Amino acid sequence: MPSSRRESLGGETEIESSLEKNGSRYETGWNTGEHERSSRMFKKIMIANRGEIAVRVIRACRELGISTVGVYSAVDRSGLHVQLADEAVCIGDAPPLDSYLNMDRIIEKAKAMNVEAIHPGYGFLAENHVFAGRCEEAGIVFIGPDAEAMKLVGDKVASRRTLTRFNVPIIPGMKSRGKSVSAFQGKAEAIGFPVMIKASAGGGGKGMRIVRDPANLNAALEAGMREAKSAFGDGSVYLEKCIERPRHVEFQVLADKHGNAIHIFERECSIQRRHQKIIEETPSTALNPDLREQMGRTAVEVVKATGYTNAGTVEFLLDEHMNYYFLEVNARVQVEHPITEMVAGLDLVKWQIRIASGEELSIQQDELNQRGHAIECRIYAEDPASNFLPSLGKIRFMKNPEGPGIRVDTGIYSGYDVSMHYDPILAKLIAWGEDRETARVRMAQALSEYVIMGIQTTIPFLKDVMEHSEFIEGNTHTDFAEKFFTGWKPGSGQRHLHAALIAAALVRSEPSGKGIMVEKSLRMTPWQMLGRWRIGGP
Amino acid sequence: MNHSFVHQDQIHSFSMGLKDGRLMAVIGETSYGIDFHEVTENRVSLIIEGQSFQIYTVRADEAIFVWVDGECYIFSIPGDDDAFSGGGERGAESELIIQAPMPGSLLKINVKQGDRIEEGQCLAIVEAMKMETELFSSVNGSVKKVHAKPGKQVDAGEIIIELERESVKKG
Repeated sequence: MPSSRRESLGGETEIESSLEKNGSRYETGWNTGEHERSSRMFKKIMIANRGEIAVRVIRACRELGISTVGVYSAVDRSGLHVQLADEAVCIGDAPPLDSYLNMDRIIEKAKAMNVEAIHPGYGFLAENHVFAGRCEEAGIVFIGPDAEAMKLVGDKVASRRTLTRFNVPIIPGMKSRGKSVSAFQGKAEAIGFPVMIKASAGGGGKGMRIVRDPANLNAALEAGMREAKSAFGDGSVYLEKCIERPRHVEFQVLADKHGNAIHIFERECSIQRRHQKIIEETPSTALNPDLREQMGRTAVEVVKATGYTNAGTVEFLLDEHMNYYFLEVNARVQVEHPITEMVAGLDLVKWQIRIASGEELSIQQDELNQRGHAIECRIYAEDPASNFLPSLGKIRFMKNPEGPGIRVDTGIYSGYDVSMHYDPILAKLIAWGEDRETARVRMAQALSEYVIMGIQTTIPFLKDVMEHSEFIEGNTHTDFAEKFFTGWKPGSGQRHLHAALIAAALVRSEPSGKGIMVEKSLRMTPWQMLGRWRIGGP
Repeated sequence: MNHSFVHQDQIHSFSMGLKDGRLMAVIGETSYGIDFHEVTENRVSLIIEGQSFQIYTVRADEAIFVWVDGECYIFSIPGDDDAFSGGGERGAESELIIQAPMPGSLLKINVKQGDRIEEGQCLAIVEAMKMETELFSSVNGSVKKVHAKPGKQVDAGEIIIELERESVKKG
């Protein structure tokens, strides 16, 4: 029986407890004038995003003494980020194009509310150079690279062209994008199957497809373009040679506006489902110090070659022979940034804001080191037993795990309604330990303590990954989930069936309205309506 | 008192009550002495035969959610609510009804009424949370009726396409 599951009673006030949890206790505190506001520091920032990342940025602002404006769509009125922000404003209807992608509305509101800077989070407008340019025109600082550098790195085709000149290793692929399906046929033949279809405008697996058989190219292109259009407002895609069985290793970089650039080591993000990361860790089990230094140097070169500033991520594919290829620059704060913060002991979001305000980087490359090991698990509103199909509905009750080295970044709470309109990420669970095994065991235990009732989540799947021998050994490749977890079903997992039955009987015996919560307005979820899906818990 | 709950299509019946001033449950062949302490409206502490459990519960009209040390159970009351207790058990019939698996927008319908279809064929695509979900046929046959139009929002469970099974041919 795990000992740390005993905790003080009545600690279920989510907002309060997670506020404490996400405080700055993991920082070592560089000499950055933490408590004295620099004269150039912003007074008010708008966060043009939602969910856990909006919450994360609001917390960074609070620590810096900056006032925050939250934005929300009509269905997000009860979002945690709305409740935490100092001011909040509705920017339109639920569909992203009407709200979180609505540049006119966002800039109009930002001006009206005297916002000095906009933090875009990740996704939505984060890597949209048009938006960055519109902010500049409106006299608002965009917290990220400037529009020109973003345009260059955001256009994966153009950035590849630039970087070939700097001896950065590149995967063979298209040097120009195409918009019509017919234009791709010849290119695919030239590159050689299998090929990878990728969205020109974004990441996150949206629009991405592997095509092994030429006969499937057209259908895959159509679907990829449609998905890219819907996710990024830009349907253009390009082709790349598909590297089989690679690892996905990325380097965090920080660059200020004074010509200083550093890398903050790597993140290994090989465990993915649908080409979207689900587990990340740092350090990577694949790198040795020499390779790490070499890749880190390349990452900094990429930053300097493209004139990139602010926080960013340089992604590489690492093949089985330890060759690495530049993949792309993610011009944003990454979903998985917390694991870097945990091992490097610094706050990347605060550094984003500081750099945007003109502050100079006070950290030298040789001052940085990796302390211990950190793992992140992404908790999605998806049913891992049904091919990760979205699981929507009300979170009837939830409680975040606690314990040494545990951090939770989340935007949900008990009673929160998970909407169909946005990315299904619910929370990020991060475990730090002195070494990989300590972090892994902590993560497994924290997942076992994570209570989310009412919808299906990836938690039971993640628990099984943590206990898988190949994961324990550190043999993580991008085909990990497909190879070891295809057709995954939750284990019979009914060790405590009798205790659960007894609890159910006791709870049921309580008169309604006294003590035990009874929900009257219960909505049917898909799981309840469709007979062929099992209604069982994880 | 006797209790019955359905969990994953299985009925579990047992008795629970006070015996010599002590709360006891008898499940199958085993009897358990229980110490029950309700901490908050969603939090219960149970000590069963000396073994301690951390438990969270939510009671809804048609189901009781119980989380015990990392395992989540959803119990319903037998005969209480057909829709909940695995209703829609139309057996093989359900394969002929293609429903939206979740609320979303119907991107594309690949077939029209009368079309012949094969097992594994993609019939329609629904999008939610920026992800496309393809709906496949699990039978060989034909399209009986298309109920929805592409571009429209669909609710979970909404019928999109009805299929007809291929009639058995004589050899």
